[in-house]
Amino acid sequence: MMAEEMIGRKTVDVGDLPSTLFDHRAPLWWGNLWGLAIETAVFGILVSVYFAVAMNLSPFPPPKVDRLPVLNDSLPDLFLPTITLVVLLLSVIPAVWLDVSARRMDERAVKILVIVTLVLNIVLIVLRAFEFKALHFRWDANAYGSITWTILGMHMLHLIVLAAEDVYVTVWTYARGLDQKHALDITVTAVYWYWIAGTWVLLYTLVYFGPRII
Amino acid sequence: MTEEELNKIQSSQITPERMEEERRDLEQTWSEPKGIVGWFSATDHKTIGLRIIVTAFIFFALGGVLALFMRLQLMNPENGILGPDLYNQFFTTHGSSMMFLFAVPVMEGMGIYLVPLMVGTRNVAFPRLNALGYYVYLIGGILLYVGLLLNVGPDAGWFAYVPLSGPEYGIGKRVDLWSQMVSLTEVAALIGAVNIIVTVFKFRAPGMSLNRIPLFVWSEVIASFMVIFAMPAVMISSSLLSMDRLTHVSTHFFNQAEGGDPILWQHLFWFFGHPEVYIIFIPATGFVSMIVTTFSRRKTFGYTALVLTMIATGFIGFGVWVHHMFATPLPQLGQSIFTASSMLIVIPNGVQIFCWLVTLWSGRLNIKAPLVFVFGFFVIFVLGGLTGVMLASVPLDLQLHDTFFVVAHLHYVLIGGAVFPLFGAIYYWFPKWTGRMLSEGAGLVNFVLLFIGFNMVFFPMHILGLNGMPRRIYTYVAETGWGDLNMLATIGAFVMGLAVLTFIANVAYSIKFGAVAGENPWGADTLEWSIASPPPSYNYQYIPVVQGRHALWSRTKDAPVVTGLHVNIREILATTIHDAMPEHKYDLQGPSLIPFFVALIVGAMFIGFMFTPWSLPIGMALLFIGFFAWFWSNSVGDRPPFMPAEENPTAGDSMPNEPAEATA
Repeated sequence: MMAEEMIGRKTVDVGDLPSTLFDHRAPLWWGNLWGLAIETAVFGILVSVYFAVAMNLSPFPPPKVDRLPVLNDSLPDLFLPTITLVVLLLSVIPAVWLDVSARRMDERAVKILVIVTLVLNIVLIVLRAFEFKALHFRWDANAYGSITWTILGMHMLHLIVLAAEDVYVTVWTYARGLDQKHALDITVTAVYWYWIAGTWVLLYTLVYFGPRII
Repeated sequence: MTEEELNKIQSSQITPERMEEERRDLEQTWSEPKGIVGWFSATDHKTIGLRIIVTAFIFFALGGVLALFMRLQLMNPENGILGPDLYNQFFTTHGSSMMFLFAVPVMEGMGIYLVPLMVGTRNVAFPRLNALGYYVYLIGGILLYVGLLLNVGPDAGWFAYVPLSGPEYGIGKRVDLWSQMVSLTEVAALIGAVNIIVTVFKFRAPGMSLNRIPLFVWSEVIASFMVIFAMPAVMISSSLLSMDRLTHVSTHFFNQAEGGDPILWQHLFWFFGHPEVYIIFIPATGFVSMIVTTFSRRKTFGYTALVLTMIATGFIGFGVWVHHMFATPLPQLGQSIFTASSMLIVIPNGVQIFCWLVTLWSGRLNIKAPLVFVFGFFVIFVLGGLTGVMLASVPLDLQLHDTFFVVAHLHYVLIGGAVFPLFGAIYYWFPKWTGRMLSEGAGLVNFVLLFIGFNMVFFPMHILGLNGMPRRIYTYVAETGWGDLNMLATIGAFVMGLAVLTFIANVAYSIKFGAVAGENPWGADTLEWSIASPPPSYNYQYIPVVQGRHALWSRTKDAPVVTGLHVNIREILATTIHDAMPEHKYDLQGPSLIPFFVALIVGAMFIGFMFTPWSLPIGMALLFIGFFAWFWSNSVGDRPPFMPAEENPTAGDSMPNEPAEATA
């Protein structure tokens, strides 16, 4: 545009507008949301693979024949996986609290809660690592073992990524204090946390109750 | 900011001196660093977009050369130019590079270049992520061709059906190269898709409400949504395949003996593969809408219908994948449903064609090279659509499955539906990119050669297919009688090659000696034509306020502009999703080398996974370090993340850094 054209033109002054807003007004929030849409699609595909495998195997789950006596009733254990689920659901409470504290710019609460959530996150990863045993099959035993390991592993990967984000936020808040930008980061990480807990309710039901129903 | 406030515009504070001063500051703030380090740190959407487009065209040319070799091999019966093994590698690499390395990336590259300009902002929402996407895509592409040069090019076809591609028959690392290339390029595609969607959602110029978004931008958004829901299917399926193939992992997803299922592969692949066709085609319809409107010199007929049909195509596109699998044992009801949905998709596409025809019919035509390519698109794409309706019917498909008829159909749809509009788009936007026009005369020669060459190659393939010539055979005997038509096709392929050479020569000449284009050589209606060609690094000195659907045609002489954005940091304006009312100011990240290094780690991790599963944990650990540095440097770069109010020349009384929640 030529300079002359601009002179005397009316203007919309946006100088007073804020620099950081939360939730659906934040670009980062949308970026995270569509990222989670991608990951939801990933789990959707894995769930459909699970059903395809279930259709192929009869009985389902298949008997465990690599040792004597043969284990005909090879349903996955419920005890440890259910503990993991409960811990995961309980961990949502401090996550919500952290979310709210970040919005209030309550630096003291944030500093405590990032540590609490990080510890819970690590506990969850350790619990999940033991959870693979409850499946009774290795990933290379059969397609049922392959898909259940992949679903658990994929979800564990999200727990690890979440822990990595937690570490970043923790280091930042202790080194530099809490600012608007990182408060936004914390609220977006909280959305990720809720998504991880929510998807696991569905995936847990599929992996541990699917074989009992199908 | 509400609509009322937007209308309560202030009288201008713009003076020539202040304008020049701000322009210099913007130039300094937004310019890209120079030198080799600067090259690898670039984050400008125009730089990255052009790189993607140029890289995609290089892969297009390489894939084309492979096609020429295939045509030479098939020219005569029992020809011996390529052996069967090399022929397999060539057709697989040809298909893979055209689909994964050319068509999808070039459409996204066009979006990454044009979308921020068309919506009136200064960069994409996540510029560093954008750079990461480019490097990851480049690594994937190089991987495929290095494989071919080392004689370990993939050889199981671009859709790599198991068990041929599985651990039992697909020996060596050939298929692993393919599946890692697929994963890398799809990561890049997903990054681009999220970037485009968020840019359009949050960074449209004030006044560009949903019903005023240019049709090309709509097409990019819809295609990006399709990427988000389709690409995971191929990423997962190719990852499952590489886990099946990898020693010491050896899962059984596609192993029938252990409860796996080879047909499952086809479902997963085509659940991605068919939407992929529309991921390529929908942006091309966006080109067509823009070109038809500009060169008809009238408002687009049926804007709403065009947007809705693109959305409808996007949805139906997810419900037709099984028509690639009619030759597998499917339930008959399933076959009927997918026949119906495959025919259904003709309706939105038909509506689109009629909208364009009405626009052209009632317009004052300005027949230039871009429009001529669109005419070619109409003819070829409609022919491809007709054979598509034929193939949607199960009995005919069973007869024609895996014959050259299918090869003819898919090239009519993809070259007609995507490559012709793409060439048109290049002729259309080249002046904006370079400041110079492509030669019209050479453009017409380019079109005529491409159109004639294309029909010479692919029309005979319909007949060859009907005569029973299967695809993916490296030779045939003379008694089949297929020799003459194959010779014709081979001659046509070289005519097409000549067309592409004309294009390259035109670009090479015009970039230096072409006529100077000016801001708006075509008299077009979208925002990118209101600024210099090539656009300055900051795109718009003042973000424009949009007053109508055809931004420049409906603009009044005293149209207001946005002021009050910082010129010393990379600040852009975020607006509301529906009405694009100013909402907040947003800091963008500047140039950085980190995305390049993160891309190297991602590449090494995926390539390493061909050999050992340990590449995953090691890669993840390195990625953690990479992303930690990335996030940290986002916040503590050389620019202050937030400007204190007293340094802000345009701030009013309220604190600009306080969020609404804190002040409320």
